[in-house]
Amino acid sequence: MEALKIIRAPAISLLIPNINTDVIMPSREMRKVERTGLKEGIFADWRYLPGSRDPDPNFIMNDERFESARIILGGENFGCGSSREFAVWGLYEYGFRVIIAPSFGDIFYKNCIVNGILPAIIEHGALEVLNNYCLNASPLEINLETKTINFSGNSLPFDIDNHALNLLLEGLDQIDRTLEYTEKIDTFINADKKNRSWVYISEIG
Amino acid sequence: MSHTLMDKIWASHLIHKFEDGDDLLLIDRIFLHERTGAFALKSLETKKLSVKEPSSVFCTIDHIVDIKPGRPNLSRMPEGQGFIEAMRHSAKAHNLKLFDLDSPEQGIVHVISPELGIVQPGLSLICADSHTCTQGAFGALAWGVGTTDLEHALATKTLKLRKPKNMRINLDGKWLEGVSAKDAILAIVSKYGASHGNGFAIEFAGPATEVLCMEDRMTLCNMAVEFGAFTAIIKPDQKAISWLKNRRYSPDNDVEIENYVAALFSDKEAVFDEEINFDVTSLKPYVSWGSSVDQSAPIDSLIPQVDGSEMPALDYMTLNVGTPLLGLKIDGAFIGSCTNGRLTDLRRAAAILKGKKVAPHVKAICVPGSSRVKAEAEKEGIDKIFINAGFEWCESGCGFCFYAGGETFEKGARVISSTNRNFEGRQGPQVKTHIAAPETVAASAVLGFITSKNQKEH
Repeated sequence: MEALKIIRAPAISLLIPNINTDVIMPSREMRKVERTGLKEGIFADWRYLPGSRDPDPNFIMNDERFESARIILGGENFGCGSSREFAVWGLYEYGFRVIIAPSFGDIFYKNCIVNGILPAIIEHGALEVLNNYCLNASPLEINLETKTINFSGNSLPFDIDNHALNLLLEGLDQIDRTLEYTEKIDTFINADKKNRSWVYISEIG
Repeated sequence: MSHTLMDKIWASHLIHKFEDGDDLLLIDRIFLHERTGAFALKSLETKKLSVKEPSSVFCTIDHIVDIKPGRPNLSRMPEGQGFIEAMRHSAKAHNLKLFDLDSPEQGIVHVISPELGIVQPGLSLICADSHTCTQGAFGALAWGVGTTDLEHALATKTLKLRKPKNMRINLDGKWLEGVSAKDAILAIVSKYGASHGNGFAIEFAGPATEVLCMEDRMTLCNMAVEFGAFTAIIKPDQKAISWLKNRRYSPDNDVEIENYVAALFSDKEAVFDEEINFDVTSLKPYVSWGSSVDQSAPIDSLIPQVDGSEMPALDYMTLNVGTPLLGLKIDGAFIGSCTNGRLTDLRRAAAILKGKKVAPHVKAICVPGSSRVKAEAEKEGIDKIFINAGFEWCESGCGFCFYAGGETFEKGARVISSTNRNFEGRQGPQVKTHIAAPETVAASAVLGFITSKNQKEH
């Protein structure tokens, strides 16, 4: 996963509450047991005219001013619904690196962080301000180290928990970090096997 | 110090506390399905890692399998077969238990995990599926994760995560005839909003929760993710213990477990970050009218005033403010899914369908939640009732609950559905899904328009 420090790009505005992962990545767009080849499926039902792959000119991703957009302004509970990580892989492959919203679906939020997308939380009022600024495709600058969104001399703070921020800044794989605790994990499991022996199924039948 | 039920389970699985506030938690059970399971295993292989404890991992094939009667061994989804083959291959390569299509134990993960006694009170259990919270009904800490988390848990038997906040929803009052857990959760989500539970583990409690059968408790917990919650849980009582007894993977040393389970409750003085009190006495059957679960209303009400952000939902549903929900003509009816595809759901629908016919213009589908549910329903003659009424009686799986490119309802059809999500396109291109309880789905299928068992006339 690529480390993330500063992103400067236009943002697309999708200020609708409860945009779910079915909308971000419709189920039928996940065609292979692979993390790639997903960017064409992002927002497929909104992006293309019904029953075709022709771009819907009314959808913001098809507006050429937003071709280089790397940021999404989303509504409340962005990424709710199915746990499908394909949604995040598709967003990443397309080039999105930041999603700014008042709140996120719990599983989606975590999926973003482990895949190098910043889920930045801001209040509704600040989101409105950003939205007005972004409508004409003026770029935003997101700085992870200062936890700020900067635009035309203004700076708005965003919220993210510190662990998530460090993972994004360093681009680290969490498994490697946890494996450093293997001894502690094994000690815990050995004790647990005595306390809760019935939890451990000895063989697969 | 007083603790909540969730706090207690969390504490018993806590291996390490990190400085950043996250915890390293032991994961007791992992369930994989073909849509995401093979991914995680493949990814482990590329990192030269193995599954830490294969005997704690179970696999099923449910999401994109064909559900047509006497199904061929394939997926109707374009390129879906690849996911099924990959799951089979990976399960074998890693020596994991797989409930394949030819197994009488196959079914939707959240239906078969309790059926087989894989979920048990006090366990931590994950699956890369958002409705894993269903299994909290047995007093387990069960939640949905992404594929990367799955991979982490497979390799380390742990997850690093932040402890959720505690919310308690107290259900009080008396359940009226024809009103069920599904109606209660739709009412709660629509009252508070689809994101209200973000960051919370919800404990359903109170007398009206305690009287529910295990299947209804599962329905309640299943929909917690539609409230935005991390998960939901219910105190395991004698009903839960008895329900799990003599299941295939249920442990047999009862005394030890019963002592353990006896401590699994929220202490009297435990403080919750939020409490909601909800009286079910005046509850009516609920139906969703929009494309988010919180856009639901009592069946005898009019579509409410909406704000600008909700207009796209009404446009999608081709409905107007002020239109009565009762009497809306439907083109399809669906009974199934991990929310309401269990035997009790089928029995309740059958009680309404018995001796009746589905309206001629309605395409009616029943997809049992597991192969065992299907077999037991057939033993009781429920299949005949469905088939005689004009329902298609299918093989078990997630089919028709979401659209993956295979069979679906007609484009743009209005469907009354026992499932959990009314999202745009969820059940097919432009399909308009109205979520409801199985009783409401059955009654509506017969009349051909939205109605409930309690409605005498229109």
